[in-house]
Amino acid sequence: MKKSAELTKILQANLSDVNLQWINSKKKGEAKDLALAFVLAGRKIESKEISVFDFLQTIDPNWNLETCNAISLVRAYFLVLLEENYEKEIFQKWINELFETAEINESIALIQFLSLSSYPDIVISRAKDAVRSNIGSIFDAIAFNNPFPFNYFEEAAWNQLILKCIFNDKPIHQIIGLNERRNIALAETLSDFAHERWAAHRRVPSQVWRLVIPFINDEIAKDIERLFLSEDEKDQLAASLVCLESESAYLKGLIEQNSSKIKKFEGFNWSHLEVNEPIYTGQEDVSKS
Amino acid sequence: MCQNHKNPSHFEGTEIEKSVDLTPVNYQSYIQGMKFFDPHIHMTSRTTDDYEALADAGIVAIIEPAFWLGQPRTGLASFKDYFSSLVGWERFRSSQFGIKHYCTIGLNSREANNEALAEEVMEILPLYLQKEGVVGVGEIGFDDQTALEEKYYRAQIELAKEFELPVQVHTPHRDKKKGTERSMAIALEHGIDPKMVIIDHNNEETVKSVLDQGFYAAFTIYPFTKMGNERMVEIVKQYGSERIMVNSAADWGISDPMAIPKTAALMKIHGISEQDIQKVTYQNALDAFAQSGQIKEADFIDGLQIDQSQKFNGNTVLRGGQSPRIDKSSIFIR
Repeated sequence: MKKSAELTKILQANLSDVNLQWINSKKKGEAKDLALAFVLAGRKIESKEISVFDFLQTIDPNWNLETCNAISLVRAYFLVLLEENYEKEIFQKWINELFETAEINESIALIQFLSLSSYPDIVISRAKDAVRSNIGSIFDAIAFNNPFPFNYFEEAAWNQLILKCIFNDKPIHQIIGLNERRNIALAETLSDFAHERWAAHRRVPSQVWRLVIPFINDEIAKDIERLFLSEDEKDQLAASLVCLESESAYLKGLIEQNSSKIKKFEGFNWSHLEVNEPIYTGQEDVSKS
Repeated sequence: MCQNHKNPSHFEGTEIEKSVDLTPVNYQSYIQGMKFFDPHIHMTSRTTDDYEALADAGIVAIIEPAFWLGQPRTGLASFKDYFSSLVGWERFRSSQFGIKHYCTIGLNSREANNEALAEEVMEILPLYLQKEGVVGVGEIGFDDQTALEEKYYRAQIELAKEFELPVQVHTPHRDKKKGTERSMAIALEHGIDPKMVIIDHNNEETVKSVLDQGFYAAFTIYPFTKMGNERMVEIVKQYGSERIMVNSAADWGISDPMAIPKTAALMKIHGISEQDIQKVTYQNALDAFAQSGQIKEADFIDGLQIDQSQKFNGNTVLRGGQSPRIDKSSIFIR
């Protein structure tokens, strides 16, 4: 079944008659009309959360977004129609126009649903631009619960996404493919990054260390040793989990020295570290506000 | 303009100037708990210090009209990027300080005089005018009062009618009285409801006619070249608070983003009722631009609400979207 037909079913099950009538009045339009309907959805569609998990699973089993806003989903629908009903060149022209003129919520919808497109080649540069965005919610749209980077980013772009996420104190565990795409370049950069942070008396969020597990070397082993010595229990837990999951010879001595600490954390796993952590040492924890 | 030059005031040497004690007052103490709406401020040209000060002074929402950036634009792409920044980057920047940011979009009068470029800009305006949070066509109107300015002013009034949006009209610095009358006459000729039109940058000479003809009258409190706030107090005393609003129009010039809170404090000192102050510093601007259907007071009145469409799996990933505050009095930067 076409994606537009699947989306129609979800919209019919969730939107008001007035909203559905408006969508029907637009769906057979020219490419330009569909692009304009994408914009207008913000004024016409009632804002509410809609469950999209089952549908997205059929597109990509890794796609774990549970809900999205009705306005975003209607926008995704018009993009899908634009792609299904028109030539690639026409789709490309309008998707570019929409990206270049988008307000924040439009940008989010465009980026959140990139993986509905059958033309990753023409949208990948937009996905990388979103990683460069300093508008938090636009960055989040590409980083979290979005399978596009996992599927299409080359290693350098992937690593940039992860680093920017950590640098901006954001929860990396919401990135799809985090463990699968671990790599040595990223592990070594993270070690350097931690040294800079520590020199500045700042923190590194503890869960970051899950990314180095397959790539322990002499230098990273010293970082793990430092975590064991940290006064922060989260760091000690991260060090223990790294030791439990790694088979690296570099860690053997550390495991013996810290056996009591490791034992203390029996039954814990990385999910206990999946929290926002302020990176500025000594600063009040604003993540709870 | 020379800083020592004093704008000739209609009230120079009159009762008000003699009556005001010029010793410095802590104006903030007069406006505790008040909330303000600045319907005309160019934040693109301002710093994060200004955003902090606005938030601290009780400004909960602002409108940023599209205007002339000082340096003339030479191509469509720079207009497009500017309009996009008004609905994108600047909206985000404002949200970090808990201030709801709206904008009006239009071709300003100065740049209407570049006809080839103006034609291209007119082509892309409909796309922006239909976006979320775009609350009007603005700021448009006359500068030099040329034929081309008139052409695009008329064309944009038609766009406002088509998209059912209010119009924010810039009135000229030079030959203001005639320019204001001409702006209103053209608007009426196009059959737009005067209550959908906000005539901006009024003074003592223009206000009566603007109000009499049913338009909203906005006053820009801006040192040297526009209104002073002592004169503004007299205006409200004379004309009341109906359809009158104040704004700062703070921009790249010597201007004051605190114009509204300062004016509110001065009104309070001069015995204007809190109800009237609330109308001219908040409610009237809200009512006028809410006619766009794009303003929900609930989004900002009790602190900026998280945009529901920016949630992921029902959670906001950002820490409430707010930037941490820095202690400016500290010598340490960490």
